[in-house]
Amino acid sequence: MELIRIDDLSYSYESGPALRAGRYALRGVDLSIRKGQYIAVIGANGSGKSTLLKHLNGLLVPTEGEVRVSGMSTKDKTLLKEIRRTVGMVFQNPETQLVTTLVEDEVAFGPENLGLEPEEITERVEWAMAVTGLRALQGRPPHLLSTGQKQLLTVASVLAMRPDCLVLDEATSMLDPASRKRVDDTVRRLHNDGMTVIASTHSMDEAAEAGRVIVLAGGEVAADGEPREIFSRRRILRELRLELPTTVRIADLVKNRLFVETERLFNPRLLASAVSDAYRKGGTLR
Amino acid sequence: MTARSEFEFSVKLSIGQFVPGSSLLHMLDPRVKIVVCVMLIVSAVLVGRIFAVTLLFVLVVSVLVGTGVGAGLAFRALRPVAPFLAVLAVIQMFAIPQLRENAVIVWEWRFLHMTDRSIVSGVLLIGRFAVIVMALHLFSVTTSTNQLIHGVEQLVRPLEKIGVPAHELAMVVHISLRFLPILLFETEKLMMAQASRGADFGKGRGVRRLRRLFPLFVPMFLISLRHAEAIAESMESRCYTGGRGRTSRLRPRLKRADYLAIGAFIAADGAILAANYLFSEAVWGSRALCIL
Amino acid sequence: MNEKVRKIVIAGVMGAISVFLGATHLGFIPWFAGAALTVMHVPVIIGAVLEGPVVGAVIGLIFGAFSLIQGAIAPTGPADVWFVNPLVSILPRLCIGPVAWLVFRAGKKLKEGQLFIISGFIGVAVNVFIWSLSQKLGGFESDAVMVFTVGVSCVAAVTVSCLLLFWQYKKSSELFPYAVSAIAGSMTNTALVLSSLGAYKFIPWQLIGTIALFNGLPEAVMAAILTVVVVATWSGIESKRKGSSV
Ligand SMILES: Nc1ncnc2c1ncn2[C@@H]1O[C@H](COP(=O)(O)OP(=O)(O)OP(=O)(O)O)[C@@H](O)[C@H]1O
Ligand SMILES: [Mg+2]
Repeated sequence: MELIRIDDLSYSYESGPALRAGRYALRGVDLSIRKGQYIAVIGANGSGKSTLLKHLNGLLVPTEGEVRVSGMSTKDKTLLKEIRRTVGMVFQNPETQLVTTLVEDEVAFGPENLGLEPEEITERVEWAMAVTGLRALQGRPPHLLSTGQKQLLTVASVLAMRPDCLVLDEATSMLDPASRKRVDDTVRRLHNDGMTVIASTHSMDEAAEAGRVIVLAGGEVAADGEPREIFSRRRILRELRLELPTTVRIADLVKNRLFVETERLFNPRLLASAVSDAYRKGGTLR
Repeated sequence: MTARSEFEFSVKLSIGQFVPGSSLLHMLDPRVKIVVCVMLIVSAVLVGRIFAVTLLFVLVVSVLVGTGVGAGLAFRALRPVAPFLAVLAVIQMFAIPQLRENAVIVWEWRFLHMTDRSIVSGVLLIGRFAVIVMALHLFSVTTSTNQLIHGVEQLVRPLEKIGVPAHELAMVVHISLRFLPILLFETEKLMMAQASRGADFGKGRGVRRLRRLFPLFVPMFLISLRHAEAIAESMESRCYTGGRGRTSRLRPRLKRADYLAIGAFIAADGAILAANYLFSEAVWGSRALCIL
Repeated sequence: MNEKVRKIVIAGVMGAISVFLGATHLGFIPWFAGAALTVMHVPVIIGAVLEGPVVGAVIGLIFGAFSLIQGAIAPTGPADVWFVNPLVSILPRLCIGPVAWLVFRAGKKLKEGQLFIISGFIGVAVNVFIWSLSQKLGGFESDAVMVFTVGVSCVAAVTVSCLLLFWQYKKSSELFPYAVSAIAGSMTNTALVLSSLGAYKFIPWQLIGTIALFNGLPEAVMAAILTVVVVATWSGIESKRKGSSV
């Protein structure tokens, strides 16, 4: 089932005469996002990733074209609350996403804005804290948490609105590997329970784990497909100055020993099975 | 002066002076304490009689003692302010020429004059400030920032009917408090970056100091504005559109003790204010008593 | 973006900057004879010109409340303790933002030339106001003091005009209203705080003109430069001087 539909979306940060001069951050983007997909959005700095993601919950409204979430156009101001309840956003810097002085208050912020009853809010807070494993932090002021805990808290505070879709804009790029894994695992778990996930990232390893990869370049969709397909188009990736996933680069190094195309080994599981196949067939892998 | 210690100071100040405890004042609803604190400050500014200010002082101290916070804690609050207060009072008593007009000179030596008016104004100054300092202290040691914000918000909520954006004001204070640690972190980063290029913010005065500080101030403002945009985006993403249609996780109720406390306080404070205005010269009949 | 949310956040953030500048003493620049200049009111002005008078007043409220609390809890000198009185600390600061905004709005409507002439008189007006107030309330003890205070007004006017001439010369006339409104906001702060200190007899009226000159004017100039550089960079107006060489 289609969750988000983007038709011929163009967006420019300029207005008035500058707009007519035509510097667009996004140009002619057409996308359809189905429920339950896990999508990675990649592209160089300034390619328009954040601009695209901010259109998904109506933070930005198209200059031209249309974005529809569950059939609701983001141009209709009266639907914004419902759209934002459906699509939850997590940004890069957890520091600027925490607005309260108590962990529970932070998680309750979204539900309170939705005007829910206190009992319902408490229930959702409990649930969101449990899902993200933040129960132990109850009663603490957010600004004294570690960056990783802070980002988990922003995820929890978005989850408390019970969204159908989670949008993450480079959400783990400021975290250390251990915290990154905790956030990734949490998101992955939610995805397995049916959550639609759209995540922009500069990490090709992360993108390789997604079900679908969208490549942006200069505000346009340069490629869109499964990771297998995307990472086999080396020339395009090189032109866009994007690198290959670590696994593919490792596979390249031992290319002549493997019996499959290295492009297909874009994630650790595939690489591992290819290596063990090669080991079985060839005896050793010197 | 080291940058470190200044920053620690600011953090302390932003978190407030809250001391967890179980006194009656800790238990009271924050709204009650806000009302008490504001009324004390306003009364201290309004009263113009020595006896009234003394009574106010007695009132604060008895609130602190009576609720089990302890007078020791209260007087400790006065300690950092005391020397400055003393200096001010001395200036007020001896060196303000306006207080010489229409006054009885009590004591005189060269250019120093002490008149009945200057004594009154010196004592009033000390009394007023002592009451305000202790009222703020009474409030801040027994109330966490969080209670403060919730309290202010509920308190001014009825004013929303006449167009005062109560919730929005509370939100502004909230964001200010939240932003202080961020600002601290960003400024430390900026200072470090500039120090590595040889800047020294502690030195110099006047224009030279300014030249050093401008490369700090300008990015500080710009970074803050950018952060403000990010904070606004994150709040909007969570359906925030202001106070309308918003509910609260907690449903605070005033208890009987709250009603009793506020009732008793208003009665006492009201009596002092009334006395201050009622006992005019006509009633007392004598100039000396009137000055009191 | 939702305008209301943005206003709330900018008020909060600018309020925090003002408090931060005060609490860390970064916002105090040692001046001559033990006095210090402050830039704590600059966030109020910037908030007001970016987001309007209400935001300006709210930031001013935070600034004022902070000086009150600082005076009561952690004063660093006798002058801090004066501010424990809300009529000294809060009321004057509430007015900075709205005045800055009004002047900014008026400035934007006027043509360059008109603006130049009018703004040249702002310094005169404010200082004559302080002067006549002190005349009325305190009375001058000698002619010398009076001559001196009138001198203050003239120097004020000349400084303001020079500053404006500077911007005029640089041909960045969009920045005029910002500079003028910052000067107006800053002088509002000086004039009202000093008047309330005088009214409470904390400072003799005779001294007030001098303080207005030695503190008020450099603060106004500082506020103007800082406001213009920050707002110009933030709204992407290219100033010919690139703004940063100050
Ligand atoms: N607030 C803004 N005002 C004006 N232009 C902007 C703004 N934000 C982004 N842009 C421009 O829009 C384009 C796309 O920016 P965007 O932030 O979407 O890129 P991105 O892919 O998210 O980059 P990054 O990897 O650095 O996050 C860039 O050219 C950028 O300069
Ligand atoms: Mg981005």
